[in-house]
Amino acid sequence: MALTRLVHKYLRHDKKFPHVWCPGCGNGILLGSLIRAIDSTGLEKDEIVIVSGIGCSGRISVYVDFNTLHTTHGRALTFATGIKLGNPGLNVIVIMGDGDATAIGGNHFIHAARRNLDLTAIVVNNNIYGMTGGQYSPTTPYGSFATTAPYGNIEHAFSIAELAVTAGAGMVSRGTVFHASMLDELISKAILKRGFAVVEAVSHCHTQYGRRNEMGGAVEMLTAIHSMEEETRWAVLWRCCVGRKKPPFGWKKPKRCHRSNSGENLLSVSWLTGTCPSTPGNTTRFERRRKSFEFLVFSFELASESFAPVKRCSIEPGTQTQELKTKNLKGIWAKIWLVQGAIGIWWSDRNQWTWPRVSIRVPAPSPGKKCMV
Amino acid sequence: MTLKRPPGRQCLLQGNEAIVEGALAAGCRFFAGYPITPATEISEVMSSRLPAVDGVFIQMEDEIASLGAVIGASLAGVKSMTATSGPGFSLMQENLGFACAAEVPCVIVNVMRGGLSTGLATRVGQGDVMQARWGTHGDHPIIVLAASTTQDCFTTTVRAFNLSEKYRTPVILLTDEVVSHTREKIYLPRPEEVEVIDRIRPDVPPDWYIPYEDNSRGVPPMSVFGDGYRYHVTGLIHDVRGFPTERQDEITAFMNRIFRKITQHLPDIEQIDEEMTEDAEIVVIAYGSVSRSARRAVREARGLGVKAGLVQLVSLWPFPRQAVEAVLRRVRMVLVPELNMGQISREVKRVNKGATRVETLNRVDGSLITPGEILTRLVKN
Repeated sequence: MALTRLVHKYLRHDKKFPHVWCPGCGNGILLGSLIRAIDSTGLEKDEIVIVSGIGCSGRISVYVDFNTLHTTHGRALTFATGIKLGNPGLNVIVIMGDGDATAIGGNHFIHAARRNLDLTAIVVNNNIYGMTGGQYSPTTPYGSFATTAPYGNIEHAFSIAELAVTAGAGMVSRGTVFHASMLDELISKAILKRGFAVVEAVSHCHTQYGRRNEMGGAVEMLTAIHSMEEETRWAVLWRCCVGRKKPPFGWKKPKRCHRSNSGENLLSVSWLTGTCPSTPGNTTRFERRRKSFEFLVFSFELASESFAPVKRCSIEPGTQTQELKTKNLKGIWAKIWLVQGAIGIWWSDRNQWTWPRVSIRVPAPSPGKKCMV
Repeated sequence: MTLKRPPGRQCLLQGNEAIVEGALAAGCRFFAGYPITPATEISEVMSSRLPAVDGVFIQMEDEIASLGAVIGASLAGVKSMTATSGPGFSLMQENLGFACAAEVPCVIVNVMRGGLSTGLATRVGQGDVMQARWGTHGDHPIIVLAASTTQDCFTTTVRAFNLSEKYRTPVILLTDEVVSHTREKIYLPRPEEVEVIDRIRPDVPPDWYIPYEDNSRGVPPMSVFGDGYRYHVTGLIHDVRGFPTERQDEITAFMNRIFRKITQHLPDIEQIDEEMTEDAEIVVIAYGSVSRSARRAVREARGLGVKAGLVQLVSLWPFPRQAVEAVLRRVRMVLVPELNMGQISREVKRVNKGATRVETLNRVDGSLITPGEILTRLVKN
């Protein structure tokens, strides 16, 4: 019932349906997540602008009953920048595909992240250009097949989340269309976040990508996303110091994970969303010594369906390291070490450490440079 | 650069500064740009002036993004503008087409520089006339204006905004390096002396609003984001409700309307400035900085007893065909001096249809055509 209510409230169900997507497409799940997330934020329909680029994901803007703008290929973020600056009261949500955001719109993506305007960017990553017929994209894994890579892709994929982190986005998160309820949560957090909030939604394209790479249909691909998640649970974490020249005092270099460019890496998921509350004046001893150093996570949340309820951890300003324990539903507990500038997880079941793979920089709290709008 | 420059007085300004004054007088409150010689002064002055009038200035990552942001701001209800030169203008073509298709009013200033590609960054040229008309892909209507003096820069900018708001179309203002960098006396009118036209907003209830419905003007009322009229804006060919369509009748209706909204109002859009053409036997057709050389040459030729006249084109596209045709019918010869290999002269020849002799005077070495050069040609014939 609740779903029907949402469909009637937020979709242009009497105007532009049926949609263009293939049966089993992840875009439908994302669309569902999007309207559930928007509904949970309680925002009015009139104050939301959905901007989309070109591609399968770009069609989302046609189906939702908000102020919608379907832009040119890759330029969605530039239009969104203009809308937000023209009327800061509007809540602008940008939906892009992986090729849209990181190939033709790569420049706009990193600069929007750098500016940290109050925009929400949802990047639907299905590893392929689906609408044009399955050409390889910047996120197509090395070695996999595409219509323009008949002998296997010889280029290496890059990680959208890491790109956004390095470029300075205010919030970066990664979810999958398999974990729809988690995606709801990530999107609603991203909408409420003041600053440039990126949600990478790992999706699948069984029509163009799955078929060519013998990965089966929609169900098999979703199962694959799920099993990848089991393997890489917790392995994807943050590191909050990126780009500094010297490591801070007392900081040990973490053993880095093997960084493969195969599909495994791409389908790894992070359930971490970060917030960095502005606490100007709360600087650590180290920061007082070196002004340019940005590293401390003041609080963060671990949100996962299997680690529900949300565990909230925080580090007190001024402390060097802190040990926290959390437990998931299966009774496996993890010791989380918040070392200066890095987070490490100790696993009770595996008896081993895992170290961050996705790096996320949390900007140091300074009153002037939070976000522009 | 002072923050406050009281209007209604004379001052010494550069063409680029006059464009800023004109834009602000017309109600421009958003500017997105990317540095490029010789248009940077517009960005610089805008960045200092706009915050003082509650406007927004942003320097984007490239020209594609600049025009994207300008279109976005316009959709959010703010009159917006960008400024660039040749290479940047090439980058803008993609989103320019979007603005034409989605009928988003905005103003693009193109300070033309010499040469092709990176060309002659600090020299003068007029090579973007055809690009301004046909640069973006697909058939599209567009309005292109040209300014020739600093005072022109002011008035033409105001007019560009008015036309763009009135007809829901991007308007391109072409100046060139000489026009933009010449400092001269200009009269800045008081706000009440400037006629400002705003876009027509819908006055029907949101349920009744059909965003691209045809009417007698061909220009549907435009609602802005956040007004309560939720509608879809797209660069795809769309039906009257704004949704993508592939129905032939809807495609034809859409294309016909966006062309008709310009052709139906040609008398309002077309503008030329004639000097001594009533009894002229030789007429010079010029625009931009060249028209200043031509004006002097024509006056000197009159002194020498040659019955010369000047037609200065203010609106380049749509080409002021009716007015030019009338001149072509009654003169012995027409001279079209241009700082390119012959772009407007092609259009003059097309309109001429053998009525009179059309001669060209082209210069592409990055320097101005001098009055002497034009005078020589006038006297020789």
